[in-house]
Amino acid sequence: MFLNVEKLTVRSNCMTTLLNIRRIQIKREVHDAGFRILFVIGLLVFLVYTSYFAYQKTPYAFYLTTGLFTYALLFQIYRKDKLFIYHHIHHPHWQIYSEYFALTFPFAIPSLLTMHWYWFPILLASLSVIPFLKFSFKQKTYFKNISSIIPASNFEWISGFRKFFIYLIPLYILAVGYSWVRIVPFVILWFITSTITSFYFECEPLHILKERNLSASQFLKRKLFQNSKYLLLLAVPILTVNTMLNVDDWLINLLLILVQLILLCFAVCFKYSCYQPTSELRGNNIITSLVSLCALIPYLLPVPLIMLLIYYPKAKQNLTNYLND
Amino acid sequence: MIKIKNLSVSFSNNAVLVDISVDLQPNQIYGIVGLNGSGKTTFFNALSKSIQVTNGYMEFNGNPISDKDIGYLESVNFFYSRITGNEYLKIFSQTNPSFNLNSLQNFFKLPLDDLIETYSTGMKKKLALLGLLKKNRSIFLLDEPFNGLDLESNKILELIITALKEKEKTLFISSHIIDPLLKLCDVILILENGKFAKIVDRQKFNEIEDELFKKFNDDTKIIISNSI
Repeated sequence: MFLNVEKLTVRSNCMTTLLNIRRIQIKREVHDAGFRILFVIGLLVFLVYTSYFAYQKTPYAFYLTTGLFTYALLFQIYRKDKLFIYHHIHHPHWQIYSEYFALTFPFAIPSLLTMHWYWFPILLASLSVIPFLKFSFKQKTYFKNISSIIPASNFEWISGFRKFFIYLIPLYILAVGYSWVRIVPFVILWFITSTITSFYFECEPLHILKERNLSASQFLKRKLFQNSKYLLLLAVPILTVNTMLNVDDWLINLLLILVQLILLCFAVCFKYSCYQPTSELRGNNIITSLVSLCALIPYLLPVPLIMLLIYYPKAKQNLTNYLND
Repeated sequence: MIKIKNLSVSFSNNAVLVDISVDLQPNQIYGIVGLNGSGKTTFFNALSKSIQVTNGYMEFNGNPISDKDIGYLESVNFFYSRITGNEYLKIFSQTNPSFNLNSLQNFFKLPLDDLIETYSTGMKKKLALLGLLKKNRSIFLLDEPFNGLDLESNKILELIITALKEKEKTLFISSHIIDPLLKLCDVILILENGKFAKIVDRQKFNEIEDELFKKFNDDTKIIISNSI
C-alpha cells in the first residue's frame, strides 16, 4: 500500500507516526470499500456491543481481556515491519504500544461501564510488555509432499490447507467420527467448506493464469470441475456412511452436499469476477461469509445459487480481459 | 521476423509508448535500455500481452504474437503464498523437452522444498527463471534479470542467455547495469520518451553511453556536489 511519503516524513519525529500511517491506510480502505463499509461498521458495532455484555460476567470478562491481549501478542509476533519500525521510527516502543492500544480500545472501553472496570487498566498494563517482544517465528514448511495428493495446479487448496490445517484436520476427523449421526456431519462439513471458500481470496500471477492456454470459459469450467471434485472427495465417505445408516435422509444429504458444491463454485467465480493479477481480495471476505451463512439457513438456501448465477458470467467477462488468445 | 507496428500504450491519457514501429530479426539478443520511466517494462508488458495496448499490433513470423510465443521474466517476481518452490514448478507443464531440473539445480541450489516466502530476491528470480525455462518459447523477455543475483548466478544467467540464443531463441533483455548488455547483446535499442530513439549494432556499442547520458555535463557534477 502506497503512503503519502511527504506527509509521513514531516511527522516522522512525532510520537504518532504509526497511528498516522494507520489513519491514512484506513482512510484509503474506506474509500475503496464503497458500500461494503456498511457491513464492516455493522460488524464493529455488533462486536463492541457484544463486548459490553461480555464484560458484565466474570469469566467472560477474563476471556475477552485475555483474547484481546493474545490478539495483540500474535499481531506483534507475526508482523513483518518490526525491523523497519525499530530502526527507523522515533520511540518505537511507545508507537507500537499506541497501535495496540488503539486496536483493542473499542472492545476494552465498554468494561468501564460495568462492575469489571478493572480489566481495562489490567489490559493496558499487559499491552505495555508486548513492544519489547522482538522475536519472530521462522516460517516452517508443513506437508512438503502435499502435491502428491493435491496436484500443484490446485495451488489454492495447497496454500489454504497449509494455512488452516490446524483446525481443518480435527474438523474432518470429527465429521468422519459423527458420520453415522443425522445432519451433524454436514454441519461440520459446512464449516470446512466455508473455510475452503476463503482459499480464494488471493489472485495468482498472470503467467500462472495463462499456463494452460485456455479461453476464459474453458478455464472457468476446468477450475470449477477440479475444485468441486476435491470437495466431493472429502464429502463422499461421510455422505455414503450417513446415507447408508439414515436411508430416509438421502434427499436431504444430497441437497446439503449440492449446496456446498454451489457455495464452492460461487467462491471460485467471485474470485475471478474480481481477479487482478497478484492482488488480494480481502474485500470479498464479508460477502463470501454472508453467502456461506445463507447455505446454513433453510429459507436462504437459494442465495448461493443465485449468487453463482450472477457471478459466473461476471467471472467469464473479467477473465476474457486476461485470457485473450 | 518480429514486426511491431504503431505500438502505443497510454495510462489515463499519459502516453508511455508512442507509435513504436520496428522490424527485428529473430535469433538475436536485444538489449532495451533507457532511464527510469522511459517505458521499458511497459514495452515488455505490451509484448507479452500483460496489458492492453492502445494501438498497434505485433507479429512473430507473420502471425500475431500469442502467449505461446512469449516467455516473460518480470522484474519483480510474484508467486502464490504458502507454496514451495517444487510446487510452483509443478504448476507448469513441461513443453521444453531438453529442460532438466536436476542439472540446473546443481548450479542454482534452490531450497525447492521450502516455502517461496522464505526465499531471497535472487532465489525468487532463479525460481521464476526455472519456471520460464520449462516452457518451450520462441521469444524470451527478461526484465532486469540480473537484479538481486549473486556473482555466480549472474554468470549462470549469462550462460543461459547465450545457450538460448544458440537454440535459436530471440531474447529481449533490459538492465539498469549496462555492462552485461554490452557483453551479451547483438543490438541495443535505446528507449527514450516512449520511442526507440536509437537502434545500435554491436559495432557501435561505444556510442551508447554518450547517447544515454548526453544531458549530463560538467554542470551536473557541480550541482550534485553542491546538493549533498
